[in-house]
Amino acid sequence: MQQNQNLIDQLKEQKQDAFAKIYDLYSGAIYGVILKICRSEVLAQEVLQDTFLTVWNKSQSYDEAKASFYTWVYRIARNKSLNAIRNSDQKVIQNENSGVYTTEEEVHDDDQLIKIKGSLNDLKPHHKKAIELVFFRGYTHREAYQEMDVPLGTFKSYIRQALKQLKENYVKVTLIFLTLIHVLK
Amino acid sequence: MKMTREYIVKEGLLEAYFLGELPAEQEQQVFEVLQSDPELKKEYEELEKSMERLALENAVTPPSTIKENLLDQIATLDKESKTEPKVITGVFYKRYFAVAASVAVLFMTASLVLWFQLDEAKTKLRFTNLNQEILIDSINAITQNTLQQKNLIAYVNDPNTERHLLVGNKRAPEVAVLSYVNHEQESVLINLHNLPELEDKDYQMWADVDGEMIDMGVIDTSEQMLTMNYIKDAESMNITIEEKGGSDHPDVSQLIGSVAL
Repeated sequence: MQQNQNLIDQLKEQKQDAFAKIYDLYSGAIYGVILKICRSEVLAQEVLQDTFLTVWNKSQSYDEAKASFYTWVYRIARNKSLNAIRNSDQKVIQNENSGVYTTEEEVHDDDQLIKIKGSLNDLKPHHKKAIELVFFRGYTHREAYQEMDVPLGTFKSYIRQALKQLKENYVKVTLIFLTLIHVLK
Repeated sequence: MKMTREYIVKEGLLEAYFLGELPAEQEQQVFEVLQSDPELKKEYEELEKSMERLALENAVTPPSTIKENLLDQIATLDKESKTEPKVITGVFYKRYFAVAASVAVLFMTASLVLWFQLDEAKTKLRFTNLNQEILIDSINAITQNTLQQKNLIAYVNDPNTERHLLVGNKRAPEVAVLSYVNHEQESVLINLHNLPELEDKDYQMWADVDGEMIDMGVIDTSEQMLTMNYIKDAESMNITIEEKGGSDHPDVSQLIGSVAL
């Protein structure tokens, strides 16, 4: 995977310029994921900031052999998002107990910010949902198959087939694209 | 359970590894299998790319204040001490100052607009680079696929390759699996024309040698064509339904079809 290896090396050497560039490259994709898990812009912004602070502080612990850089940042963001919603759920419960309403605004399913865009929409609905729950909503396999109300084995095969389909669709799109270029020449 | 490629794929451990959800010991085991299995490693890298592509398709530009805050926080160097602004008096200077301020505001607005555009361009560029990589991977995959197809055609047309159609018995009349057996090359290839997917069970294939059923392997119904273990001196090939992952001995009450060789 082409990874902007130079930038990552410089990040490990704690070069601030490199950090700024890495932020520019990855923050959009990561913020999209965080928003979908947190479903609150206020919370998502806190988590995004916290995530990149960890990227800066823990850059030494990133190991190329184990995962791509995106994956590494994604894992940090996912963990922090899940912690944040767990904590904010607790806050809501405390607030309810003491009779104080939470005022934090939430985004809803049809909100442009969390609406799923792109090739995920080309999948069969149950495949899309399986991928969305696990990779974009932060569900564990157990929570996800219960949410979808299918046996675990079936759920696992949904994920497998969805990933395969995503790859195949991309090859198809690529072929059409290549044919187009050929025709236009 | 021993960590094998089949186990990792079947149990969705690659996804869990990607998510960073595995316990440390299991994570290390998957990592070790990935290091020694280039094909699985490639599959894992494709998973990473698919996920990054999905995330880029769903990217949202965060507010610029977050980047500013971050850069402030990580700045270890003291900010350069600023020179004290000179106190300017008089009407002329006031007007001059107002003009300068307007120009500054104009510049700032323009920079801000440009900065946003740059930001967007960077995300797009990253997307394009990633797409290009996937494109190259796809071409490699297509080339490999074509090669496989050629080998397949050669194999199927080989005069030494026998064809046997295995149809389902009354328990599963819709089943149709075409097998290609080549005794010279000692290989068996099967084409799943019709084999409905099972929930929580697996199909397993068996060779009958002098009345003893010998394992030819579990059938992966997500594939169209697959190779099975060749068993010498087999008199027939049989398919049974077994527990997930297959069994050591066939459950003949669950026999769904067979074909004599």
